[in-house]
Amino acid sequence: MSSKRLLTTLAINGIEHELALEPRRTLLDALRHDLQLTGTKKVCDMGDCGACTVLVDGRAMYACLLLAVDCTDRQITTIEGLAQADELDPLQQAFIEADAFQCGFCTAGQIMSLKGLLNETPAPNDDQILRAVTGNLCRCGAYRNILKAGRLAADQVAHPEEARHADSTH
Amino acid sequence: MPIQHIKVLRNGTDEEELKVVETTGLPTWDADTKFTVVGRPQSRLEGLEKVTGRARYSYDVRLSGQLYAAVLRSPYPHARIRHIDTTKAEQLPGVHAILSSANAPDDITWYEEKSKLFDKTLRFIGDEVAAVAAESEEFAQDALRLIEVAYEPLPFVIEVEAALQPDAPRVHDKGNRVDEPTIYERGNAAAGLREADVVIEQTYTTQTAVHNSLEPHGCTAFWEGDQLTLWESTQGIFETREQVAEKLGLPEHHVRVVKEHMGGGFGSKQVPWKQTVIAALLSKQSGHPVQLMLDREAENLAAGNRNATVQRVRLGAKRDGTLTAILADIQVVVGAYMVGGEASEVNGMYERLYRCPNVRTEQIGVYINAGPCVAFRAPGHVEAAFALEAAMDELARALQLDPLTLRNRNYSEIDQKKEKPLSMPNALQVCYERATAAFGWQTYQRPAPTGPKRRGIGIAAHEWGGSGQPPAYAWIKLNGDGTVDVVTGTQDIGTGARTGLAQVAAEVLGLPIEQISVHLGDTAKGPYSPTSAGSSTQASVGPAVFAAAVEAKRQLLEVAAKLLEEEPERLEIRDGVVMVEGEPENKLTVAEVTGRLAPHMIIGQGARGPNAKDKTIRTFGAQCVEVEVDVETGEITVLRVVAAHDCGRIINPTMVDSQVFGGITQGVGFALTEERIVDEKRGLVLNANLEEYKIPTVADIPQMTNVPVNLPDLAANPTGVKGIGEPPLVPTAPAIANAVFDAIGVRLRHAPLSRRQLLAALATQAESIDKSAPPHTQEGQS
Amino acid sequence: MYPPKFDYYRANSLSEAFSLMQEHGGAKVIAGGHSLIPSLKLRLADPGALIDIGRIGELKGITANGNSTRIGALTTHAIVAAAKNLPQGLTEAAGWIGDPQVRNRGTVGGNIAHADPASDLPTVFTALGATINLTGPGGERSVAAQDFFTGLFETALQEGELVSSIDVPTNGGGSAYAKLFNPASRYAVVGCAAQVKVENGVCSAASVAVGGLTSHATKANAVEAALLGKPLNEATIAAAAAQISQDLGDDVMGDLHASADYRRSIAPIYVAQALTAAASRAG
Repeated sequence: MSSKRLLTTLAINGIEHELALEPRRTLLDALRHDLQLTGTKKVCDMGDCGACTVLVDGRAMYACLLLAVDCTDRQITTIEGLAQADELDPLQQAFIEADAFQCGFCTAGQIMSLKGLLNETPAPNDDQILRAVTGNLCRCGAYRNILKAGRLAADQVAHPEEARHADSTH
Repeated sequence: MPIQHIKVLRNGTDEEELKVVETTGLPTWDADTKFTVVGRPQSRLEGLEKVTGRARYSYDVRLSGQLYAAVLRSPYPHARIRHIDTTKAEQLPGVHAILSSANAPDDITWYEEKSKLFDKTLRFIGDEVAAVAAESEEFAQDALRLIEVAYEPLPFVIEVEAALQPDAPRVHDKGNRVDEPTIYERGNAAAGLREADVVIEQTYTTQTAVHNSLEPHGCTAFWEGDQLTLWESTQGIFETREQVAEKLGLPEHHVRVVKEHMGGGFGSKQVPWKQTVIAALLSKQSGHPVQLMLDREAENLAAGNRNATVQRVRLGAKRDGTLTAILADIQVVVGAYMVGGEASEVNGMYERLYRCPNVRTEQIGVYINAGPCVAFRAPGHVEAAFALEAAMDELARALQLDPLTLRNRNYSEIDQKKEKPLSMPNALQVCYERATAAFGWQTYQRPAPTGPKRRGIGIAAHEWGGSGQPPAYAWIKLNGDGTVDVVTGTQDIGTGARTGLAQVAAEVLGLPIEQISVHLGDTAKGPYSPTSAGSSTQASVGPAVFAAAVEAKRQLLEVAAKLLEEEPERLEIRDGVVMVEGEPENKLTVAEVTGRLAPHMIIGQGARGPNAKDKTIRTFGAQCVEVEVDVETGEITVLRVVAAHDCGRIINPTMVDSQVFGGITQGVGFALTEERIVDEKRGLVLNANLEEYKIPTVADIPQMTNVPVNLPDLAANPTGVKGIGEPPLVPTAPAIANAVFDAIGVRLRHAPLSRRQLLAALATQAESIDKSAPPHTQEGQS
Repeated sequence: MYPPKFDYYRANSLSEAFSLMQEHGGAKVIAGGHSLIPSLKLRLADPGALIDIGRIGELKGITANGNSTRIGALTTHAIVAAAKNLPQGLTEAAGWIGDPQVRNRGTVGGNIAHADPASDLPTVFTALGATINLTGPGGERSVAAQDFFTGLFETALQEGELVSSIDVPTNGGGSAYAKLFNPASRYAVVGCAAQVKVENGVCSAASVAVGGLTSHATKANAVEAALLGKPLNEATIAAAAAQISQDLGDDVMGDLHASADYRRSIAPIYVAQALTAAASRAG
């Protein structure tokens, strides 16, 4: 098989990278190997677990089931691109506050799935939060606190002042 | 030997340890101690790294020139390699090294010397045949497909009953029994049964469950000159170093094992597996760093599992519920190999949990041609509890007693095996009281059935070790600016060990936790700490950190005393300030003291002291569960779980809650959906993936409550801490099974409680069920 | 698991797609890739070349057209789930396909061309009486959904043809979808789609299909017949749902998730659920 490498431009977290990739390379492997962005995790590599979830044009997708060569002209956001300078995204802050992880291996995927939800549904109800992470497995069993973190972050995004005030009274 | 370490972890030990660092004369944290950091919620110190993707796991190591390895695995459950030819694979561009039985060192053995690193006899699907290191994972996979192997398939056996037949295919030359049966007896069990007014005799089975840690097993190995460095996803860096050094004939100081963060282990990573040594040899052969991580299929086939069991249980009791006999005949299905003392001790819980003069257990291990078992979170106890706690429920029903009443009637305040008092004889009692009170056990009103849905409640208890034990060591270094480095060779496997250890140091030193850094997970940087297993990290390493901090504080106060021209005994540290008792003006900050000293440094060394010898230290817990059963679809929904677990002093309530909720969640999976399924005709694992091996999802979790039980146990160590890692998983499944019976009057004795099993059981009892009313009323629950 | 090597070509229009398909015999067409990539990783296929049709604009979008609505083949499940002008049975089924990651990427055309027996949309399209529009180098043709799904992973698609769109009637009455799903993949163990019309208090039209049970989505004619002319209440729905065993015959399949017997035994429950919801929306 000839299988030429293709010159591919990937826009990751607002930065364009030009890479020569085998067409069979998934976005997940391009991130982890070619760009050394290892925050996105590989677990099942078959679209069953959600650990590799990234945002493609703002929507949550499995990086393990996307061909990297098919990601040109799309804006990819990974866990590394979520914090602005030193300021954490409200979801990241909420995950710490709610103890929404133990080993942390599913965390990037969980956060990106919820980020996808908040992009589309800024004031989600609890059921929408749950449905946003139905595709993200957590073997440590941090689900309860993941939902709690989703709620905290959604409230923070919807009512930043109130949420901050509520925090300070704790 | 590492195996010894693990046995110690599991059981605690009565043997006196050699003391390397003196541990006498330490203060203790008794029940009246006032705390500022300990006992308060504290978010994880590594939280920022984990939410930003910066936390580096073994899978994330990227070194210059790094190669990627893949393993060719046996497609047969039992076969002999007639011939192997790797020539074509070697010629593939990008391939740097290949290992197989054709060229691997012949003297490296595994699995209790029953297998070579690359053995020509393959005993399970997934057994290692060859390994390739190449410039990308894709190339390594391509190369595997070019390796030509001539297999001679051999007869195999998958099913435990078949394996015990005299003419069964032999997994090993000596047959399919691992060893002589392990027999325990106290009193006279047969006589105890004869004395009984009521006897329960049932057989329960539990399934093979797979850990499925999200980060697979594996490592990145770099063999440079005479130094081998392993970035290994392991629960035990020192055990890994010791074993790898021994297998490869290297001195221990030439092997360094690093594990910064780990994506779950749950017991499966407490022993080194073949792939670690394979990666090291591939690195040596290629001269490059080599990353060898298992894929999800291999993780399911060849990286350990919870052994299936068959447990024939007999309980005898007097009319009032007093137990006269407990008997258990246990078969443990270990798979094709023992990985080293790792088959579950299912018998222990039968011998300890209830007061009974006549107990007999008999346990055998059975080999079959499937992947080897390894410890899985509370090994043995999860399996035993599923049977024993259901049998107790059956006994309660037969005696028309509330299951809680029956348990209380047979409450044991002593260690009946060793005839010693328990360190906390009322701990289980407290757990029962708090769990049932928070659940509303006594006042539960069963809701009327709605359509096909029936509600029911169940309870189960557990006991476990978790005392912690020596040896474990820690250093505390006070820096010139008043900050602190805690250094120890333990590992944080996701339980929050970093944070708990920092809280201990901060408390002793009177410093805010922000001034503490914990350095762990590197054999080259910290002193020995044991494998993180047996729910013992905080209880083993915490006291070493405590001792080191006490020593550092002593030195600090000595210096401060000179500066303040005071006696050290009159000094105390609060919020980072050294002050003189009763003289608020006379003070110095810790930073001022260490600053004056710098670059001289205060280093406190600490060791874990021995446990009390005259008492047995155990942990206990109880869970109450409410379920809803759909009698049409067979679906079981766990509505709520209330847990109360004794773990000694609670250092960090947030982490304890997370351990409990995580344990319950895994318990729900064990109870309802998780099961490795093997096609007995072909020996194939049919669900070696995360689609068909069903771990709980976010939609499957019940409402969970953890009622804190904060009972400092000073027999364990001066901090009063015991473990909480494993126990919360133990009672969940039997409590669910008992609740299912309560809901529909049908007893399911085989884990997992599948929909199919439930509907079949319902069908056989169809006539006895009146769908318009609850199946029975509960005694003592008006 | 990694795919075998392949060459990759992107088609920017239908005509470009057809010429690439002619040029590269044996090539596979990829859109969302959520069925194809896993099968490549498992090395169940080694096509040598992929032709990516995912960016062909003319195959995207949802357009209302009188009494039916056209869904472009490349429309994602997420977009269908959020659409306002489609029968509720379809939008709710699309909303329960897999998880958000799958719905954001997977396409309606790819889904039905794959024809997984546990998939939701084939069942829904069959019940709704949808028409599948196919296009090839020689032009367009249309096939009723009921005739499109022909077997296990088999459809009426011919070599060189692509699904271009699906026409869904929007005047069929109240519709609903109910399923028991596998927890991880959320594929249907048993799925049922139903559409009913109620006139003068009785059922005047009923269309019911089930999936997950047999090799492909199956029309439940006996269930439908039992509904016609009856008022739709708990008793009549239960009686009609029980007829599903007639429709299924001996063809029910079992697998790891559920045995054939189990599926057969619970099928009426989901038929009744779907019918109850559909009836409540027929109002």
